[in-house]
Amino acid sequence: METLIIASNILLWAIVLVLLIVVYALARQIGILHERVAPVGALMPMNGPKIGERVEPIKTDSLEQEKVIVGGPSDHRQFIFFLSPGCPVCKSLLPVVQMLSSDEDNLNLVYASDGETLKTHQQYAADFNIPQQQYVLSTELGMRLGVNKLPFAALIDQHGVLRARGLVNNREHLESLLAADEMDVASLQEYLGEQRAE
Amino acid sequence: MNTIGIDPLVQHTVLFGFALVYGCSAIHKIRHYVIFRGTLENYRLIPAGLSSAATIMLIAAELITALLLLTPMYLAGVAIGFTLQVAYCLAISVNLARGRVHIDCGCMGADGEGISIFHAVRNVLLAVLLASAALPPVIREMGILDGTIMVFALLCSVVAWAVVNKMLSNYSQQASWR
Repeated sequence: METLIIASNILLWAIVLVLLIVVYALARQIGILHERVAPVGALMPMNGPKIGERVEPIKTDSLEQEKVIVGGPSDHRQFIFFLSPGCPVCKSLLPVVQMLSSDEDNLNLVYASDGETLKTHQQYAADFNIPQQQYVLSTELGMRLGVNKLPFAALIDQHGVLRARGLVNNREHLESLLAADEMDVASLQEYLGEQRAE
Repeated sequence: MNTIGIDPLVQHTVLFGFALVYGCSAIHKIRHYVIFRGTLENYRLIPAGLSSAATIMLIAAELITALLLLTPMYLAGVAIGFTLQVAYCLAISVNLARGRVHIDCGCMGADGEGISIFHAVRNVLLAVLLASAALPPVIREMGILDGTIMVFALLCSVVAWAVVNKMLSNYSQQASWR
């Protein structure tokens, strides 16, 4: 009887050890999954203009009813952030957008939206300290840049060439658009894909 | 009169386990001396000029603890080890309160993961476990089975330690996305 208890005790210890090793392997797998699904860069939709294409100048109206030209050659790069007063993620990204654009040299920030009433947009701009002359309303702009979901952002360089665009849900996504331009790639996903292929 | 005692098997397992932890930790710190000094400086608790001395003192304290835990003077080892755990826990808590959660823990097997409340809790649990070894042991004879169980328990502890570290690093990784 005693031998049986000793044998079962040792067997149980061995099973506990094996199970712990399995738990470690699973935890490691979760870690690897985290790495793979980590936010890499803004998601670029399939439709709309390709990176490197010229964006013809689009005339838009600011909240102050002034004409603002988006696209085409200009003195500064243009970073267009598409938002909507009814989009909660857009709201949470506003401080990040403002900080990123102030950190970058030679970058004009344009807030773009459409729909709703002018008053709603003006109230929204006032609530979140958005300069009215930078806030434009244009359905055409969104359609030309292939905006299908919000919040969306696009970067156009001084020559009017589209450098990066995509759906942005967090700071990493926003930074990836600027990084893609600096690294001269269409998107960070493309860059990582090339790195993995090598 | 009945006094609270600890079974010698449990006591020996705890003492051996902690000797292993402190020994490996000290060797890890010696091998990555410069990195550990930087980690210690990041805690911003001691003047920069004293960081080298503090690093050497910590490594020496861990080595001495590991050796003492394996000798009949194990109570001294428990006292130093307990003090070290409390000091580490306080250092982590102070930096959590300061919001410096991005700094490296400096804990063995957990590099580059930042610190969180779980690191502080882990150190408290370790301190309590180590303190339990200071209880007077129940006198009984130890057999081969005790030795076998101790080896298994130590092996399980090593893997469990790796699991906890892995899960802490997963947690920190995910927390950094927000």
